[in-house]
Amino acid sequence: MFVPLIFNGGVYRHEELENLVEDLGGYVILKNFAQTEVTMFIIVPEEDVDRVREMVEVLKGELKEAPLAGSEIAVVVPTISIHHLPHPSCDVAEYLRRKGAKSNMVGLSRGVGKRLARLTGFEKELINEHDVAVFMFGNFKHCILEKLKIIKDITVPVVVTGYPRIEVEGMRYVSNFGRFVGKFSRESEIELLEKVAKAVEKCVEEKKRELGEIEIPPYYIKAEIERQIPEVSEALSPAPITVKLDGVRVKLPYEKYGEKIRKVKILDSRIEEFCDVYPSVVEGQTIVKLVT
Amino acid sequence: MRLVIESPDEEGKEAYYRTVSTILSESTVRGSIREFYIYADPKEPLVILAITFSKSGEVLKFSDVVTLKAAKEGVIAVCENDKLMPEVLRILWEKVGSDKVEQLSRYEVMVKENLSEEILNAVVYDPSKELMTGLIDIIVRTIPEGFRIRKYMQVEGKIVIVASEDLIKEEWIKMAEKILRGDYVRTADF
Repeated sequence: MFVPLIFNGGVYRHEELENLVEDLGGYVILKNFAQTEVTMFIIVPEEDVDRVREMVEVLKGELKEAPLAGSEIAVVVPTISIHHLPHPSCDVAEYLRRKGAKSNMVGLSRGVGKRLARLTGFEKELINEHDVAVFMFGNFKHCILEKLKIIKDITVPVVVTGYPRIEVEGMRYVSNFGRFVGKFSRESEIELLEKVAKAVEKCVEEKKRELGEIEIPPYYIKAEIERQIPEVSEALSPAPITVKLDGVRVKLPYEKYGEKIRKVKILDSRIEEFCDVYPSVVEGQTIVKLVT
Repeated sequence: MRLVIESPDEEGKEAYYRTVSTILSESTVRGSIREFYIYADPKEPLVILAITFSKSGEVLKFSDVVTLKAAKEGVIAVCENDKLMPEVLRILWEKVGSDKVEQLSRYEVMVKENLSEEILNAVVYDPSKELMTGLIDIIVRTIPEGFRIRKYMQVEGKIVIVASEDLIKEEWIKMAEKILRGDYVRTADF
């Protein structure tokens, strides 16, 4: 059993932790540098967590649990205008990121209004490429109930936020949220973010349960692609390979690298034998999805 | 300032109150707003927004905010108000040219030319302009984004906006006219 963790600390000697994780049989899911600081999402075997903690203490860093590590979450807002950005959508996306998720913000082109709200084909496909989608709606019950109709084509688990207290079937709903125009800074507001994170966590757990025991975990596929296709490190994205619950997103164009990705060797087989490799709706990205 | 929100949806009213009060608290013109009234009915869908405001302050000219000191190469203009300094500098750059204007310190600007009558009479701060910019910002933020069909009505010191995502009905305009006259719609009437 692996435990996902987030390490925050200085760049100096961080490779020692990286080496320890690899020696223990764990993986580094994501590594981000911010000047002299480094943030690493790691997963390590449960029995070795104490050894990692000891090392982090030596490095004077910080270690947190990351319940959402290895998941890709879409935070969907009606538009990317001043009504929804930077609050509350960025606050939610950032909070999920701190819990270990790779969150992407999706601003809809026709998401405003009650009667007008709809999803385009591209948006549907894009959201369905994620593991969980968080839809952020507004203040009025009537509008939210109307708007819920746009979610019917979404096949991934959905969390909806809004102000009124309503019961919604088939999805998790976080009330008391609505249209926030200020920063989430009070304790009660942070609690709301925590509620969203908990709802997302439950969706992730459910999806993991649905997927069952995965023989070759996505982070192993990530490590092998990184090793066998070195060009991926040259991708400009901060996370050239994003780990999802049921595969990985490789930020390399399918037309050029699709065949190479298919042929990546994992243990005694190749990726194409147990994964679907297809182009993402996002230009220049390829999806590798485990066949379950 | 009085903030009144009317809506048949009680929960929505609470939420809208939270949203609008934050918008107003962040606004630079909240001091000029006397009353802020909203009628929101999501079922129609309709939002009527009425803002009663008072014009405050006077127009400030360059000569009102700047004191001049003679110098060897020209004059030193001293403006001790941080908020007005950018506008003072902009006027000087525009009228004299940036090559002849040099900022000596936070409050002092050296101008290597004599200041003309035109510069001394230039308007540095116009409260009505500031008020309008502030009000437009509040209106845009407050009205739901999807409500793009709007009708603006205005009398001295009051502005009323009817907004919807469908065609605006005649009765809504009548309601807005009533609000413009000062009789507010009460949820109990519906």
